[in-house]
Amino acid sequence: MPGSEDRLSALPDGVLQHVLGFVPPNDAVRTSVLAGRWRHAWRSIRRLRISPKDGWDRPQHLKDFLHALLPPGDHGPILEEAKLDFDGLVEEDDAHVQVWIRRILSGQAQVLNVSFIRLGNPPLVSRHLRKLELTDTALEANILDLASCPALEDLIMASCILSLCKISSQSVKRLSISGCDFLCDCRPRIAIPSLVWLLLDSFGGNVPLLGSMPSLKTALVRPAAYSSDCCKGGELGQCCGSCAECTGDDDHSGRCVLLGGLSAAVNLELVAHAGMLIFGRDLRWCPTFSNLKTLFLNDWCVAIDFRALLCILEHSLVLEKLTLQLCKRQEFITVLAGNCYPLEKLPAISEHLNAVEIRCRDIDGRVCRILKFLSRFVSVTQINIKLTAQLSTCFSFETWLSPSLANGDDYS
Amino acid sequence: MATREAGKKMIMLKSPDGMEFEVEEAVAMESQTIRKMIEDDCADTAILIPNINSKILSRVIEYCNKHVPTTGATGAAASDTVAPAALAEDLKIWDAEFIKVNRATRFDLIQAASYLNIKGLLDLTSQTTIDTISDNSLEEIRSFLSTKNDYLPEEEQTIRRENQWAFQ
Repeated sequence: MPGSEDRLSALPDGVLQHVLGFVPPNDAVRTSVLAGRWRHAWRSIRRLRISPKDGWDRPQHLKDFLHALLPPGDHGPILEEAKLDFDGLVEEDDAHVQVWIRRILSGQAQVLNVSFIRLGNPPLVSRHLRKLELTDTALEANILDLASCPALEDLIMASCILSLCKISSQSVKRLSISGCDFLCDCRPRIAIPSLVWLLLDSFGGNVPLLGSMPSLKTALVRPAAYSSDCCKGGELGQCCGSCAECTGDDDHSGRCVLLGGLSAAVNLELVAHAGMLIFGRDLRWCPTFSNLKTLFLNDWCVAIDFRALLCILEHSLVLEKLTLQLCKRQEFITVLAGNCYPLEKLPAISEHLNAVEIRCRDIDGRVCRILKFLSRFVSVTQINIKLTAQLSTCFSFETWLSPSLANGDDYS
Repeated sequence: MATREAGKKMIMLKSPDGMEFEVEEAVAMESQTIRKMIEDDCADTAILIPNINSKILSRVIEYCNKHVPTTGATGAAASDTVAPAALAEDLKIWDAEFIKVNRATRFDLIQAASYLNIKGLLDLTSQTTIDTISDNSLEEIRSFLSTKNDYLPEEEQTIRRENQWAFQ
């Protein structure tokens, strides 16, 4: 096609600005000397990426660039996506960072990805923000009161320190918290009634209290081994089975911490080290899972006896599939053999349960007991034992990943 | 081919050179521009796509067909279920093959993606364009773009001074 060489310059401004968003910032700025039309093009980029890899030799260069790109004023920037990796580029407490982020949000930004900073009051305000991703960031005070971000649907936090009492939103549909620590004096609350998908993985510190989530479909919850709600009184740092916490003298105020908020879930994975108390403690409030169809559990639910497992089964009215993943660990059941559930008084469980899978390294005494126990509820032909060499306390992840985590919006 | 599968609504897209393409509504709605037309009930019969010839339009449809979220086995809404990581990897490989086109076609695809507002395709074409011209000097980029330097020498010096750090 003749004349195709100069087609890039022939593109409409909007497209030019989109294309420029894929250029490292200093190259984008350098296009200003190409020709008159390009002089200010870089100021209107739609997509900003700040990375230590782009060789910001002096902190002042970064500041000059962002001040020029994000001038104060009534008209917010037209940036649609920003990924700001400040690792080593600014001091964590640099006040400029707060200003830049709030300016970006005051404009058209739909996707914001920030790492290596500290964010505190006041709460974020954005009309268009759809996805917020925070990595290696210290979050404080009311920063995650997201009432003023009405379009926000995806909230992702990884390796963050959460020194706050509340995460709240009326719009977020997918929440992912992994490798984060909840460090505050109170029990933090997650109040996001619009949530459909939840991943709470390896979170330490205080276990958060989950509010009601009537639209929830899928939840994967795994407290970190060093979470505060954990008994380490036993041998090898395992659950002792006899301390006040283990036996029922719990300290919270008479309702479920995690399981109450999860009660609408259709797919649920609850994974914990055997010494983790939180799920078992919650079960004493007998939450009902009225939509639950697939359930994945690991050692914790049979750590002391079958009561926890039985309680969930009894209160999962339409459960169809149960998977139990058992690591090779101490045989708590043998240790506490005299303390088993009175099996002569069996409650009714879901009549839809038609598939049970037990994953284990080998068929030991514990597996035999569990098998015997479960065969009182479902036909042995519906129980499938899968021998696996490598097992860990992980999620199965067999059916789902969040769509927002698996695709799009990443800049790689 | 009118009713390919029961229950799936079909949309007719027409290119200015007279070709017609029948696509599933969900595929057509990968384009935010078409989505808006459909949602505003402006799409009863056929939608004319101006400025995009049949060759480019067929490639755009090919892209949308590949990227339309698949409905999960459980029948749940696609946005609430799950794209396994393997699927995303598969898409990346497919994209890399898809964009192996000559420069003229790539510019046509950028413009089509921009007009039809298909973010994934616009990102893919933009990134590929940048990859082909990065690591070049300003003179090389000017020559690649056939852009004429219309600055006076002193003007260019002023601009360079404004953002000196970027030119070091």
